[in-house]
Amino acid sequence: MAKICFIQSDFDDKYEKYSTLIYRTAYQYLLNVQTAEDVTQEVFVRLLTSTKKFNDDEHEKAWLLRVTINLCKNHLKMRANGNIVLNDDINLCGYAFENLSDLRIDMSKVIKSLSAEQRAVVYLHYYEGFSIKEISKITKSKENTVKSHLRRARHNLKTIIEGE
Amino acid sequence: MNYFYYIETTGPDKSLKSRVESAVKCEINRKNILIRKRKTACMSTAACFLLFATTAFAARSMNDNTRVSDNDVSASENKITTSTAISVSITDDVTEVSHTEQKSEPAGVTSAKNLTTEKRTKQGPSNGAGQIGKIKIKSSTDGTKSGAQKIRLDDLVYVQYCSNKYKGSWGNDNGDLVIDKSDIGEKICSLDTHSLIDYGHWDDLSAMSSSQASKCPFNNATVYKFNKCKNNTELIVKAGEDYYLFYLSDIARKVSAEEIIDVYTASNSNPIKCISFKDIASNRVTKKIKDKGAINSIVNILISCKKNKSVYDAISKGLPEDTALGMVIVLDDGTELTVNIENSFFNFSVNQRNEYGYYELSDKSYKSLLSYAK
Repeated sequence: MAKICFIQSDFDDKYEKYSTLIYRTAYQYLLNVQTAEDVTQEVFVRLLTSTKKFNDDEHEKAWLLRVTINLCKNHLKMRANGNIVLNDDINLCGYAFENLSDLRIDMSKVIKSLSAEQRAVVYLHYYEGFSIKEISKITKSKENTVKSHLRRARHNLKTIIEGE
Repeated sequence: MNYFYYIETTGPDKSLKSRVESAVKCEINRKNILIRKRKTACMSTAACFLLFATTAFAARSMNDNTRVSDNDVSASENKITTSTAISVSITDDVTEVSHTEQKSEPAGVTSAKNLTTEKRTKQGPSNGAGQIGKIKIKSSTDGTKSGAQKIRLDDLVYVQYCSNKYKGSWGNDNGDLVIDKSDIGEKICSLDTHSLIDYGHWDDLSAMSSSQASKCPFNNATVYKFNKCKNNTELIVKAGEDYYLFYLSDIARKVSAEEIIDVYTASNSNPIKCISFKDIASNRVTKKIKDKGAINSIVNILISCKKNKSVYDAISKGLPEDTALGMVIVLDDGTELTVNIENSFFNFSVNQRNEYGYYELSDKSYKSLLSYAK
């Protein structure tokens, strides 16, 4: 097995390209800044210490999202098993919303009303622009499941927004 | 605030990059240490294995030198001797002491287990047997009880060695033969009813019946190559714990003179070293030819002669067989092919099935051979 080398420029490029995507995906899944950062760190460690060869950028991107989601699921499982004690008060404002107006509270409420899967699917579909088929590949779930998550997310969002 | 705006306001903290970078470096460092440790472990394992193999080899070599054990074990340290008899056998030191008249120091020797290395060395024969890795081929008259055995391997027929002295060049002046263990080559086959020739049918080379074979000491014996003999005209046969020497006596088909010479020269990989002419009456070498040109000429004369059945028929009817000239072709490995030359024909010491392989010799060829002999 060959020795692994750290190449600064390589790291900088990849961090520039993928850090936001990974962080946002993790954050949408976990709704916790610290954990999202931990996941981001772990994903980069895996990326830069892996010997895996990628066909192209899309392949690499899909692999990163897959790893991110898997790590997020692991965190959720650990949380469910009581291995991680988290503050129940999920602070959406911690880093991202510090300079926002009152509107942020509404959005945090809206976001909190969605499940982890729904948040991730909504983010990947509406913000990152992945198709349902691509998301189903990344999350390793059926297309209909992705569609269901999206439909329920939309329904929940509509209900909450109309209620307010 | 729309969803896009909300998402865009979400992003990793600036300090995260340095944390990730240090985490990646730390992990790479850890993995490299693991790789280095694994490499070291592999090399250590390989070194240990080499050390172990060397030690085992050395221990085995020392055991060969020092261990005295039962017959089974001592067979590997055995010695093969030839002397006055026909069979060649391997026996352990004690057997040799108790069975051989030459050895007159059995005092105090009661069993092989009681022999120490020192004693064994002292009591061992002085002619080379008992040396490390040496096998003394010991002849025994026991081998002649039921006559020499013939075995057939494909077209080649070998006979158990049965002269008072070892015939080839391997033996010492006393006719004894001591060979290295390494002279016993690779296994060729095991003998069975098909390869064992009935004592009463040497001429037609008929195989033994199953009942005869079951009584034959060579049934299921193992045939090995004799490494000193490049052309496989001599073989070692192991029957039980005894080793015997067999040499090529017949070819079970009709062959030309060229084919016979080809067998002995192993298709030129065992070239002719010299040709000796002998006085038949005194068995004394009268001339030895080492010149390659002369050797080639003599061989060419031999291979140009055709087999003629009328010669055989005439001899069968009682034509006197006064061999005029004896010729021995000595091969590079020391094996010999004897040619008996008459006025009008010659034959080899190797028989052929149902006949003796007489080759017609023209007057001109005979005179040429005679000129080389003088």
